[in-house]
Amino acid sequence: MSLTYPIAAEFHSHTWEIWIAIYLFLGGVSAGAFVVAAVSQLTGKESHRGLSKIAAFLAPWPVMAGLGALVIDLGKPFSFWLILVNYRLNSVMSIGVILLLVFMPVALLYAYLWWKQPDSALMKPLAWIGIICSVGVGIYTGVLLSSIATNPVWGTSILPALFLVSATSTGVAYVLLGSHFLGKIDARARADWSRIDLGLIGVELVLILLLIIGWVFAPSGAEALREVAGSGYGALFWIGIITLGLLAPLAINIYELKSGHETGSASLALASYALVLFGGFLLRYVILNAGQATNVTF
Amino acid sequence: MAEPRYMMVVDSQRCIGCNACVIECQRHWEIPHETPRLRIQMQEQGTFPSVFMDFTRRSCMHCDDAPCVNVCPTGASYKTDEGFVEFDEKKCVGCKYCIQACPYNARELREDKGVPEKCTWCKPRVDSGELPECVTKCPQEVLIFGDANDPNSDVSTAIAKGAVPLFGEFGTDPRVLYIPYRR
Repeated sequence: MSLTYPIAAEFHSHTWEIWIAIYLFLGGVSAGAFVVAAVSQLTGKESHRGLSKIAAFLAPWPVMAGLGALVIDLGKPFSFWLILVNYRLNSVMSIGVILLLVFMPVALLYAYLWWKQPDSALMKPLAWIGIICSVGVGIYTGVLLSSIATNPVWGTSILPALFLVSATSTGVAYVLLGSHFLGKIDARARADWSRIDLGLIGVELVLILLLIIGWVFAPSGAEALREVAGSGYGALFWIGIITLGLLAPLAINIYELKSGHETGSASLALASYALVLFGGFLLRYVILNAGQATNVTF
Repeated sequence: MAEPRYMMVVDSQRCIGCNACVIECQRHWEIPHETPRLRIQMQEQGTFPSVFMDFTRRSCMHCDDAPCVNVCPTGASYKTDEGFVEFDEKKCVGCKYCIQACPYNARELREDKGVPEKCTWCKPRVDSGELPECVTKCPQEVLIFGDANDPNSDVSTAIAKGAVPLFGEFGTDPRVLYIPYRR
């Protein structure tokens, strides 16, 4: 037996497992789905009522599953309640807990009202409160990482913006995918949200471009580029996120809109929603792991 | 008398990499071998035939602006008035945010407890007027610990010799300073 002492480079920094990527992803999906529900309702368009209702029913659940994933990743999962009784407002995670504790009841109450009293006077204020919370949750999932400013991958303000846009896009995809199985929605509502998703995907591509440009010029950006887009997670990044998660749905979306949604193939549209969700998860997964990979070296 | 301002200086010039500090820390605090609170990083420097070994103490820097304290959602990681970055495992949920945030990688999850323990600068010992274990067991007097507010203390003298933070660009105001290795 040899007596060796672990050197600093062997510190186990890779400590946030896939559960955290799932948590960040599902939190974003819920926030995005709620935005779809609330915005559809607030437009007041009759054609959007069905979509709004389905979105409202779908919105609360992913984030709850995500919190379950977060608890699984905790070192002391059975002590998770400690985070609910101790708050530190300088901690982004603590602020996130507060945001989620407001968002989840609002989303649940909103879904309940849609089901029981769709004409309630509470619907409109709830929609606005929920939109604010949703934007907060979407930003929070990015700031959780970007607040660690010394991390070459995470320490950029582009990240929360990217996660927010991606959250909305995955929320739209989740609602449109779910509505296919839960009930018929107006084709015009679907076309409207598909158009919005088209814009969101375009913005995501621009933000990813900005992220890469930022790394090209940042002092420790070479490391970030290597981990995200190079030898680290490059294959997942270029094939999974860019090609399958963004460009493919973009192409399908454009094709669908050109050919007219009523005549478009349903399975093609469903594939595009699934790809958006797949790409959204992969984005969190790659950013999370690439960031942790840069932690190991000094 | 003014409150003590505890600091540590690591005189890398004197370190021979014997790891006595690491072993003593693990023995005294009964820490698993896999996750020590203190490591000696060994790095080969230079190009053959002009090479040498560089030894660097890697442990908590007890930063005045500590990222682990700033990100902790429950206050399990906190800064005491005397400057210790302390950890209360009873408040910790094991979210591992501090592990991600510490740029010095000084926090690591202790698997048996599920919490990221850390170097305490042996606070109970210091409170009773003794030195941290690692300091007392170093045969080379590499580690100098004391009150930087006292101009006559060993640590003040050592700081005056030109001790600097490790990776000062992190900007966390560490309370552990290093006298760099010079050939």
